[in-house]
Amino acid sequence: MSGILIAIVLLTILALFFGVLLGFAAEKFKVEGDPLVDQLEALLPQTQCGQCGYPGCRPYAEAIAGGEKVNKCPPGGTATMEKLADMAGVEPEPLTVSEEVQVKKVAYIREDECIGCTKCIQACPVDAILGTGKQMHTVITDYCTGCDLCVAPCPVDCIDMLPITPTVKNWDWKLNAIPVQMLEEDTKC
Amino acid sequence: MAFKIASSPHLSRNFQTSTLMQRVILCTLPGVATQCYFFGWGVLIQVALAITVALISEAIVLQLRKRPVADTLKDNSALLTALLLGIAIPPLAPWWLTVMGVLFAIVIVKHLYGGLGHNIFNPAMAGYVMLLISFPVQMTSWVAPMMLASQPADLLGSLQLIFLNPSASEVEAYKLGFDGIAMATPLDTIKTDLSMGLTSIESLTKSIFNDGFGVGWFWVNMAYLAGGLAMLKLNLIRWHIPVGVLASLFICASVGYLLNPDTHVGPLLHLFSGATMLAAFFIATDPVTAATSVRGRLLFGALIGVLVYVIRTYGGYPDAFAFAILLANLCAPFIDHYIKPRTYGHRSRS
Amino acid sequence: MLTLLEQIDKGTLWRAIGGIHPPEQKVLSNTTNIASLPMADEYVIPLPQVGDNATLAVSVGDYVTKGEVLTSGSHFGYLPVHAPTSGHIIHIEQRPSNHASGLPVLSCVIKPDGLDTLSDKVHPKLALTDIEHLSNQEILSKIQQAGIAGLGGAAFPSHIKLNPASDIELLIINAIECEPYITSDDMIMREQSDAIMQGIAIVHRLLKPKRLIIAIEDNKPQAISIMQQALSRSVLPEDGVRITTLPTLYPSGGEKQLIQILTGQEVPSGAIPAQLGILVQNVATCYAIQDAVLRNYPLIERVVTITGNNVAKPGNYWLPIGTPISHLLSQTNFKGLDTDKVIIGGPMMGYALYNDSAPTLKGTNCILLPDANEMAPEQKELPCIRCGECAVVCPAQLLPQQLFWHSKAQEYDKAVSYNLNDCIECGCCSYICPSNIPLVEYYRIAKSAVKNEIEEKKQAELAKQRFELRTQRLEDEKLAREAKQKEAADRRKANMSGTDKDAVAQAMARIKAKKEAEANSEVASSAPTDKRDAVAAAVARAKAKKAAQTSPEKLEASTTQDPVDDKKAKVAAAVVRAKAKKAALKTADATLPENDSEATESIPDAPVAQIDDKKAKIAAAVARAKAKKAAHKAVDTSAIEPQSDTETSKPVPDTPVAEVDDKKAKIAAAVAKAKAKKAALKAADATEVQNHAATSEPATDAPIAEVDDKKAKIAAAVAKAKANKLAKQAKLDNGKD
Repeated sequence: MSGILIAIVLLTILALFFGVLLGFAAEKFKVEGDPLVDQLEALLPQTQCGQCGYPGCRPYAEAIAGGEKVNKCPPGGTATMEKLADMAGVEPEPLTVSEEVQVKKVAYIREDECIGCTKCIQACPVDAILGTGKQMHTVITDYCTGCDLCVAPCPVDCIDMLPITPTVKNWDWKLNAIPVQMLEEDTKC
Repeated sequence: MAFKIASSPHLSRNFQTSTLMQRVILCTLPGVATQCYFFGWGVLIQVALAITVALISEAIVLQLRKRPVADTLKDNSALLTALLLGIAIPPLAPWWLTVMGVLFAIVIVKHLYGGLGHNIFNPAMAGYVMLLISFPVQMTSWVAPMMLASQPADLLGSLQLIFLNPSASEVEAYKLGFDGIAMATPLDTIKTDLSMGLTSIESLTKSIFNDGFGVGWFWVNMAYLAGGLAMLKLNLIRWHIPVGVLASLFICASVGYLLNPDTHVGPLLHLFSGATMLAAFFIATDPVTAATSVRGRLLFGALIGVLVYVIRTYGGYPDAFAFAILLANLCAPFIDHYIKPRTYGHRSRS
Repeated sequence: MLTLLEQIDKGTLWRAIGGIHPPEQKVLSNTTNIASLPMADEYVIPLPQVGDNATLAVSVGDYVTKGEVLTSGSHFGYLPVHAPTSGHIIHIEQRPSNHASGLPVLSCVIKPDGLDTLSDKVHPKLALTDIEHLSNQEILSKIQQAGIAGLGGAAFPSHIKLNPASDIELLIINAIECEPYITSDDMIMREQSDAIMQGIAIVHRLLKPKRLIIAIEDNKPQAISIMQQALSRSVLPEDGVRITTLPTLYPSGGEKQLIQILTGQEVPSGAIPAQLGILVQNVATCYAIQDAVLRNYPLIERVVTITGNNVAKPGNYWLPIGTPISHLLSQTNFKGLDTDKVIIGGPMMGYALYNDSAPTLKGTNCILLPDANEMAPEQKELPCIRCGECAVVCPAQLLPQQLFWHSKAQEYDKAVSYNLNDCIECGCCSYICPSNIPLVEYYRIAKSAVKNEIEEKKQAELAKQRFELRTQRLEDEKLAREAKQKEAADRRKANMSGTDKDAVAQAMARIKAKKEAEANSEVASSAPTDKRDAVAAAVARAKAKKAAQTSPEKLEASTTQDPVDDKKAKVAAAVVRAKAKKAALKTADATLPENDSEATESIPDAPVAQIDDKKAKIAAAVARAKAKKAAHKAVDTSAIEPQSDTETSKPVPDTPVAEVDDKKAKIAAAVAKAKAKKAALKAADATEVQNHAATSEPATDAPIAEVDDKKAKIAAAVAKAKANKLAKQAKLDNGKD
């Protein structure tokens, strides 16, 4: 009988002790804010393209934290989707839109066709288009996220999405894929 | 004109895995020869049987895994695994024991883990341990050295014993010494004697210890030591693991012997009996399952030495290298994770 | 305990970590003196900085003398490029680069006149005493103007390196040349030791280091003794200057490795040696510095080792920078096939070149032409057996096999945690690997990926910031607008109490419109009186246009709009018309002479527009000018097709349309027509009878367009679009035929 009593007392003391410990820890190491949204947002490509149906990347990150599906970000591709799923603790799902070939593109305005309507400037989420009314516009390629949003509003269809041409500076070391190109047939030897 | 492109460096030492394995195999030859001299044809028969089974099973598994068969067989790794297992199995053990051990080593331990380079455990030792645990009777009945045996086995006799199903009494006959007492390995003898209350000095008076280290075993170990030194000379292995193993075993044995010479055997007996030299130079140095950094390898070796001493002295088995190596294999990733060299230009982790 | 400087004076060497001893093969090329090659047919000088921080100073057709500068710039990182010989510039265009990628870069191609006339800026060599009066800044500027970059391979601008932020205690002259095969530094030391010492003296004067070490590997005994003699003859102080011999080991010539061997110190990861008070300068660069400072002779040639079993005349050559590799291959009797490699640099770190029309660069110290048996045969990659040899030879003390696992699995963050970025790509690990794993290639790919990832992160962060700023700005503007509207409404309420309500209301509306226009200055394209209507109209138009392209039928329903009396719209109309004309003109000229008259008819169209607005007139004038230009250009083209007659007649009816008050509709029509014309033009080439029918349709449509009614015009556009389609179809059919 006393054995049972001792056990009960011991367990009670232990339970109290750990309860106090946990309570203390919860107070002491309390985490402010919702870092999940920040972490999710950090994973998103920040193209601000709105293809997910949210006005920008942060709202989508907030939506994912609130239970939205992780497969609505075409610019991020499958890789981003997997990371998002991992971070949000959900199962990865195939992307809603079929993933395009992951070549980074930037907008390019055919400048002699531009009529200076500023529609693309208003559409650009990251202010990467320079120009004013009736003046030719141009894309600041360094700032362009390749989101595509300026292409549709253009009344004269003078905006193209062109893949970034590889140069010596931004060239990637992938030996099997060295963009070997003969500029001119050299006949000298 | 356009030319071939390739990534630098364009030079290579041109010294390949297959050459490495081949040379290691050559370095075991003195030891194998000595073992044959003392324990008869059985050793060679077991080695040949193991190699045959290993090559066939490796070829089949590679086929099943859809890997290039001929190219991979040429890397000689299966050959080396089979050789080491063949040496370790008692010379007159029945054939199915060897076959089973080799199959386990090659198919399960090596290929099911991803093949060469991906196995966690040393295949030869894992196969040996599997046999030792599953068939303790067959695996611990080592034959008496030829010169002490009452009935040394000739080639034909050995073949018969291995491949036909001999009766227990027939096998027993080969284990008997000329004094009619069943012989065991020196370490086994000491273990039994100590457990029966004899002191180690009393035990050493037995005929198996005629030359102080156990007949034959000393020379077998010396031969493997010579092979090991040759490997060091040829840069086939680095010194860290063997030195780690031998030094830690020596230190542990010395300490034990100094504390209580009656119940502990001397350090030299530890170093020159059983599988010490074979394991220290040929088995523990298997790079796939060992630690990789320099300090990590010293620690890896030292761990094996300590484990061997502990198991030999306090455990249930007379020799312990197989267990020690498998346990150290388990620790290798852990060692690698914590022991990293300090990269150039980085402060050491404080 | 000796101090570091004392130990350096004693010549103490520290233990080198890792390293290998590949077969040296230096004898191939270091037995003959440095020679020259006959002049090439052309020299290709890459202009990497043009468009970045330099501008072209020459143009095609210019005559340049040897050593004349081709670019200009004022950026502190600007490195001039000079003509390596005298001659005419025949091209400035994209040429294959001497780079592992072989991607084209902007290059200046010079056709030599064979005279090799030296630029008049180069003067006879001065003595060191003659430049004593020059300030350090003047010397650095001379070095910069000579375009001197590190000749060891990295080609970092020397004037930046020689102007460090911190004091330099130890200057190391790197004459190690640890790569197999290369002997260019060896040979230049043997032949130009005194000039090199002068160069070192200049560097010594600039930096005033406490100690100076000339480090040479012990496989160059001749160079060591010659340099020793030259040192004793030189003006360099005896104290604190020494030649140190290092045991041969690859890669002890790497900057970080050399510092470690000579001083026992390690350059912190991500830092430069100058932070330790150490500076390493290549020995050949010192020669070039001497040339630049004492002779004003720019860096236009260098010693290049051409070696390997595939070349009949291996040796060292003074090569003008910009010499095409193909030229020197033919001059040295290259006997390889295209299955052989052309390696720029040594066998350990050099890259294989794909295209031999690439030129030599300032950093090109060796061209290695090995035959098929000389280099490692291509072998299949075997599984890693974790032998750890790579970790033993790694001079950076990395764990190459861990890096390999992670790089292969594309776990780049883990690879980075194993200090991937400290890999110097020396190739020791690949060299030693018994499993033939191309480790360095894996690391390069991983490094590229990591670099891209960081770049993308940065881009994403930037995009996010800009997006947030924009959102904030739009929000602010909206608030401001609302406030103004409210204010205006309040005022109107106040004014409502006045007498003439209607007038006030009208005035209010005007004010409001104006303010809106001001507030929304960004949206300046259409500032109509009634903004909303206009926007709606624009939207409708855009839709209509798009629809016209896809399904012309839909057009009719969607393009009815209100007329807007707006100047801007007029201008736009004019521009569109001008474009239409341009197109018409082009077609006109491309056809029979008869068409010319028709084409000229289209020119008077612009006056026909008769719009009071000056701007429109100007636009029209511009358009005419353009049209003329186009006409001139197009004279050459000679597609003689009767169909085009009908097409060119189209612009005639177009312009009257412009007279109509409703401009917007016209614009739409014009755009549609212009497009139609373009398409038709394309189709015109295809000489098919079907085209006749198709293109004649627009001709009949055109008169209809003159009608004031907009709908009719739109219908015309639709018809034209249809015509296009037909034309296209015809073309297609034609193509099929």
